[in-house]
Amino acid sequence: MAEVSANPLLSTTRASDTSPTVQLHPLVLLTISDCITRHTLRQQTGPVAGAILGQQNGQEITMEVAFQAKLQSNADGEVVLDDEWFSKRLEDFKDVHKQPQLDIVGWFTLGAVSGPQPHILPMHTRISEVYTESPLLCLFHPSDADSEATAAGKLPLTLYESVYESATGGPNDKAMDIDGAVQNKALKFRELVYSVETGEAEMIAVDFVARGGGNATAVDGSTAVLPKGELSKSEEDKGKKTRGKQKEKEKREETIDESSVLTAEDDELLSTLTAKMNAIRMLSRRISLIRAYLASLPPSYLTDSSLPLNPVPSADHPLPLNHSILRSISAMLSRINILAPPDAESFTLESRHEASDVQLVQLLSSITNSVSAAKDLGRKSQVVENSKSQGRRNMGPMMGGGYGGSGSQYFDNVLGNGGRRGYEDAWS
Amino acid sequence: MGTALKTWELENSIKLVDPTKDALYTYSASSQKTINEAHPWRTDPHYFTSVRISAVALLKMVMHARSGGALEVMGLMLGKIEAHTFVITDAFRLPVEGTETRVNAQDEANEYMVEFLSRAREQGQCENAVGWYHSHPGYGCWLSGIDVGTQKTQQMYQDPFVAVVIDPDRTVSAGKVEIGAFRTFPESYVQEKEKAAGSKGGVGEDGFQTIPLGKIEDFGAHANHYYSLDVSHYKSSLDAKLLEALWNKYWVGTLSSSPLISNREYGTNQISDLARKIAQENGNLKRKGAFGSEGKGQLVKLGAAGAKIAREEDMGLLSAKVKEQVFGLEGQGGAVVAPEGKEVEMES
Repeated sequence: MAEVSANPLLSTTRASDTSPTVQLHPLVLLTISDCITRHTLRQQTGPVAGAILGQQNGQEITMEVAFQAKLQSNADGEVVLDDEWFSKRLEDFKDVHKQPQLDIVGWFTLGAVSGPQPHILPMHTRISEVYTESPLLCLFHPSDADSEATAAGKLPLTLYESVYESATGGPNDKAMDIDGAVQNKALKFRELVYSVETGEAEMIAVDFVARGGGNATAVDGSTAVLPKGELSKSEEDKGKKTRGKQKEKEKREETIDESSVLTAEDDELLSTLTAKMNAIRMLSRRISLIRAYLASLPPSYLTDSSLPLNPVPSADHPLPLNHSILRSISAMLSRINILAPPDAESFTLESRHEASDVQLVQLLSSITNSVSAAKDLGRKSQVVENSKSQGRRNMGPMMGGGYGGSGSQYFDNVLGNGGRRGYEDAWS
Repeated sequence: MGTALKTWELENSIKLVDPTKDALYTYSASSQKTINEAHPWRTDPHYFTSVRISAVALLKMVMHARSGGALEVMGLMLGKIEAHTFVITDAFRLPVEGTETRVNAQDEANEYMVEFLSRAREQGQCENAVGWYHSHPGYGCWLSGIDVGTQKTQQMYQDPFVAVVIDPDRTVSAGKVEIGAFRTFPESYVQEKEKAAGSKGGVGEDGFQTIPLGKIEDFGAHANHYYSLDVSHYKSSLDAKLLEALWNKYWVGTLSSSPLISNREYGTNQISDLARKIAQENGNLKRKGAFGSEGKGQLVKLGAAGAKIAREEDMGLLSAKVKEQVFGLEGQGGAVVAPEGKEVEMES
């Protein structure tokens, strides 16, 4: 990578087995983005930086929570942390994150893709001196956030771990450290691979926020409308999940009518279905990507032994043969067989049981509703009967008696006890 | 070097933020002060009608509520007022737990709160505290007697203030965030209402609540001391872009989740609670006679509760059926595909 030589702070070595594995939680990402938005809109000056807290179990590090830090310039004109503020804030956060206990594992700031620049060093060294031995640096690339890559799924941030390498050569340099002499080891950053992890509740909340579509336009005197109906329109988006704000705004007007028609329950169902559908669509896109890749490879020597062992890309098959990709694909395909449950029959039986349980619950609910409807009917009939019998009383006892006789039989059937009592009341 | 520093200081990142669409992220201390001095909410108990919560605040609150498990947790919310809306920009936890059983939980957190707020201000986050949130694990979003008392005090001394309640258990089972926002009425207003309406417990002003039997008395006794506000959330343009990217990472989870299994316990509890309520209602009817007027609304509510449970179960079944279809687990010749999305991601 050409950038490595251009940025003296980047390490030339690659991540080794001793490098930590990092799990990033979405909250950190959203916190950073929140800091940026606020900073920009409120026209605050100075850099944006803050701490990241998480858990550290040996080589596994999670990054769960972040907060923005107060910065100040010190005597040398460099930007450093306000130590007192920082340590108190850290204490605050540790106080409330007790199960599991979180601690500072790194810090974040903004930067370019080329890597960390020297001006972040003072803060980094300070954190490593005082708070944690080898803090991870999370560099957020604001320039990338708008790019195609982000829309496709690559997050605009890079994680670095800090390694100490001797200034003169690579890690293979066998120079001995002399006690008491100044360390000529320089701080370098090595890029880390990370994965995004979410807890269940976190996923639901992030999902909710992502799909809700509420953008942050200012509230005017009238209450802001949140169009839930827009979800029904999102199905029409061709393939890509372009929930661009422009489309949203246009559709907002159209969908306002729809949202008044959809009930809350329909909404729930609709949003679950849409989510599932999007997930399936994503799956199918990935699969077709694999197929397209495979189709574009040159024919293999296995099919026709006259073909060369290592085919070169030609016009029909532009992609070169990448063995590691092919290995992963074949591993994936062979795993399909394991996925089917070993005992297909009992699995089917179990799933049928579950389905019938659900149907039972449905039955229960409809019975309850029927009972309440019947009771309602009874009540209304009683009211009707009461008003009729009042009218009859006015018409005279003879006719009332005649009606009363047959009437009581009919009403008894419908109303049971209540009817009889009502009848008696009418005559009391 | 110059450009790197500029990036660090965000000078060139104006296009990340859209001033109109992200307007809620601005903060003007002077306009907040003006609104506070005018305090129109003192004259109109129904002044505030809605709440808008930022993505970060919502995420923090939901995760805090979930992390408390079966214990109630609470925290404070920062934000501002805009016309009839509370805009909540951030939230932070308070180190107290089990808030439903103790009246003075908030006092313990006072010191923490004051210090935290002053530090936030030093850092440049100068919003005021505009509300508090707490969780009701498994028993719905409403204000208990203690909550009503706390909120009334807050509204007396710290107005404008709003109370937000989150139910993490129902959130996970229903697959959507269960959240409610409330404001209490001043005593005088409550008494007026009671005289006018003839007090009825259990008023459900908006929406519908399935309250477990153990809590329903608490709910009913105080239900007409407060009203609920509309809750909606918002996110910035940058948030939206990041969330799009994130979706690419966890669509696998959406497809592979099994809500029927993970929410079994919750569903069972709901059903048994409904059964108890029906039995109780049955007993009431026998005593009062078939057409006692108080039983009128009850049965309808029970019916709606049953329908809600049925719906949640149905959605769980839906996920299971979708999986069966897509992955052909029943050997019915569905597409033979591998849900190994993770492998695919590394390559693509």
